Amino acid sequence: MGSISVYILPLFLLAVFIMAFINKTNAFDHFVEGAKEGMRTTVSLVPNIVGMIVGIKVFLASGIVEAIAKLLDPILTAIGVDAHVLPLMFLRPLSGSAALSVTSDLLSIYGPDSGVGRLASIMQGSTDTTIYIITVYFAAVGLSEMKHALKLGLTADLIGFIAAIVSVSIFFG
Amino acid sequence: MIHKIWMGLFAIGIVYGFFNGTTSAVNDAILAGAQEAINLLIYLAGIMVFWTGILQVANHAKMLDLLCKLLTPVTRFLYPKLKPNHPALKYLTTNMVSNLLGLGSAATPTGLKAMKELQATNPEPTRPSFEMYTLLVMNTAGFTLIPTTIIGIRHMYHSQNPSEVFLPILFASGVTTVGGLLIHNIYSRMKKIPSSGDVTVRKRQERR
Repeated sequence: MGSISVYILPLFLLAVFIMAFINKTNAFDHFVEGAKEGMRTTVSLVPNIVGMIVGIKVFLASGIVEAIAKLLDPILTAIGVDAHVLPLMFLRPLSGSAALSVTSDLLSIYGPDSGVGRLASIMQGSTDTTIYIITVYFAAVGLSEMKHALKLGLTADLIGFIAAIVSVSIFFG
Repeated sequence: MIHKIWMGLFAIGIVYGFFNGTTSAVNDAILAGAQEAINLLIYLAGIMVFWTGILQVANHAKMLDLLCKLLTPVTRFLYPKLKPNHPALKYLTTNMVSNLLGLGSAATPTGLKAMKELQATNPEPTRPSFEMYTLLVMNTAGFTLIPTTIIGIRHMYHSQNPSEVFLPILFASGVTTVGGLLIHNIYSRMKKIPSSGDVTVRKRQERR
C-alpha cells in the first residue's frame, strides 16, 4: 500500500495542471492568489497554536498521564486490554506528534506484530488530533463556542478506542 | 470551554509537577514549548501556502467541480441541507477525499476553506452550524482508506506484514465516523443547531 500512496499526490498535481491547461486558466496567477490567502490564514493561527502547544507540553512534562495510566491499569487488565496503550489514548486527542512518538515507542519495544503493537497501530490510525482540529478550524472563522464541539469530538475518540479494541479481537482474535 | 481546558492543562501540569518532582521538566516545557510551536507552524505554513495555492488553481480549472459531481451522492447524504451550488461543497468534498487518501497535509487547508464558506452563510455567526459539526466529525474520526503514516512506522520496525492493520483500521474508523455522525445528528436535532443551508433564515435576518 505504501508504494501506491506515493503516486497519489503527484498524480493529483498532474491532473490539476492538465485541467488548468485544457480550461486555459492562468495557473500561476491563481496559485499566488490562493497561496496569499493560505499565508494569511496561517499567520492568524499563530497565537492559537503557540498557546495551545505550550499548555499541552506543560501537561505532558508533569508526568500526570503516566500516573493516570497506572491508576486505571487494574480496570483495563480486567477487560483484557493491555494498559501500555493508555498513554496513547490520553495523548491522541491532544497532540498528533506526541501520540505518534508513543506509538513508535510501543512498536519498537513490543514489536509491531505483538498484541500491543497491533492495538496501538489501529488506535493511531483510526482517530485524529481532536483538540488541534477544533482549535484550528474554529479559530479560523472566529468561533468561540467550542463546548459542544469538544464533547462531540472526544466522544468520537472514545468510540474510536472501543472500536479499535473490538477490531483487534475480530481480526486478530 | 477551550479556555478552561487551556488553563486546566497549565494548572494541572504545574501543580502535579510540584508533587511529582518533575518541575524542572515542566520548566523546560514552558521555555521550549513556544519554540516547538513555531517550528510546527513553519512546517504547517509551507504546506498551507502551497496547497491553498494549488486548490485555487484546481478550483479555477474546474477540477473541484468534477470531484464534487462524482461524489454528489455522498455529500448529499452528509450535508442534506446545503443547496447543490453552495460554495462550501467543493471544499467539503476535497477535504473528504484528502482524508480518505491519508493526505492530512492537504486536509487542513481544504477544511479551513470549507469552514469559511460555511461561516459566510451561517444564520447565527456566533454559533457553529450543523454542517461545521459534520465536518468536524469527518475530520476527527480519521476515516481513511490508506493509513500511510502508521504503515510506514510498522515497516520501519520490521513488521512481518505492515499493512495487516489496513482492514482493522478501516473498520474501526468507519465505526467511529458512523457513531460520531449519529450522536451529532441526534444532538443537533435536540438543540436545533442552525444550518448553513437555511437560506430562508438568512434572508429574514437581512430584512431586519
